[in-house]
Amino acid sequence: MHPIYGAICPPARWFLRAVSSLEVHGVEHIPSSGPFLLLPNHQSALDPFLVQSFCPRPVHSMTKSTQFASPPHRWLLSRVGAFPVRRYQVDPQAVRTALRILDAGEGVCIYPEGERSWDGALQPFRRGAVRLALRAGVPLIPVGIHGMFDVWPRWLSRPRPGARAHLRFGEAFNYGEIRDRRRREALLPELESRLAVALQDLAQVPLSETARRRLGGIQESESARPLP
Amino acid sequence: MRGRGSDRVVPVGELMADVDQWGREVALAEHHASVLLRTASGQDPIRHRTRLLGFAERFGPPEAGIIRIDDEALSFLPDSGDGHRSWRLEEIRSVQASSSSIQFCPVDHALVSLKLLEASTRLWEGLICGAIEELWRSRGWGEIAEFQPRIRAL
Repeated sequence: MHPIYGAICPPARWFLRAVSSLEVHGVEHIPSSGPFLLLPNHQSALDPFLVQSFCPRPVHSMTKSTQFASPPHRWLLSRVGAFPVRRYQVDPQAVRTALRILDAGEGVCIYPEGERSWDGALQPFRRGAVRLALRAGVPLIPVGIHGMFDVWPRWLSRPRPGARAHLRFGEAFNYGEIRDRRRREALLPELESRLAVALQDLAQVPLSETARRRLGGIQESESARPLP
Repeated sequence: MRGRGSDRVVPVGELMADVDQWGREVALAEHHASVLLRTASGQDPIRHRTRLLGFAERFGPPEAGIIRIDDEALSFLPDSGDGHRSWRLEEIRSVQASSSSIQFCPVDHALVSLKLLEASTRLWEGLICGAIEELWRSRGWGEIAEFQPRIRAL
């Protein structure tokens, strides 16, 4: 990984602890070697800094392509492990890049909701993200982010310090390499359900109304807090 | 009528109720907003060292104007008065909110980005998606499951 990545992590950790009373759990679930795929819920623009600076191994984050529009952003993001995804169309290059990084034995982070939550609740997952997770055949690690919505919700122009926040890396689930596409497709609903339950537990957030409709039979986790 | 500037997501069903109560022109007049419109003129490869990471849009210059929605189309009227544009809702292939912008991809056209200068992004995402949902329902194309990476029905 580029030296800039290592240089950004300590100040990012300091900043995140300054704007929230942050607790981090479950770093032991990150494998010490080999590829892995992080699947966090997405509450705030601070989430990529949070996940990447506290994950014990470097991570490449799938990032919306419009973030790369300006040359300074492009320069910086490509050096901190980010790679672009065009969210408004099927983007095979983003999938190829993610699989290539995993093939090289490194970590990738994909936010399966595809965008920040408007209200802190868990949004429906993008089918493409879940499909990629199954195709990758690597340990899938759910990551719960709690409280960052209170620190910097999507609709505020700047953070408001003081909230309690936590970051929890969950236990990995591994489906292994499934070569048969039809079998992977058949497993999509199962992985969606499993991920939804894991993220509710880890992040202590409820399912949004849309997600509940989409995920059909999924029970809402008992530990998920109700929305204020 | 709802107050202007409200952050509440207004379903198109409610908009249609306003149409019944107040008349179409009055109801729809509420659904316009000041925007900066930019259209992607191409895509640039993003590389790190020699590796291709992916592609990102290259946007053209911004144009200030007013965006307006009704149950058939999204229309853009530039402040300059020239170059009025309209996209039929059935031509829109994907919709996404991105920070303070709404972005959509019309069929056979490049990505269009609307930076909302005053109005709520969530409101406009709700309005556009709601209008498209109603259109798909009325045409018998099914219930929309997701709006990205392309609009897909169950």
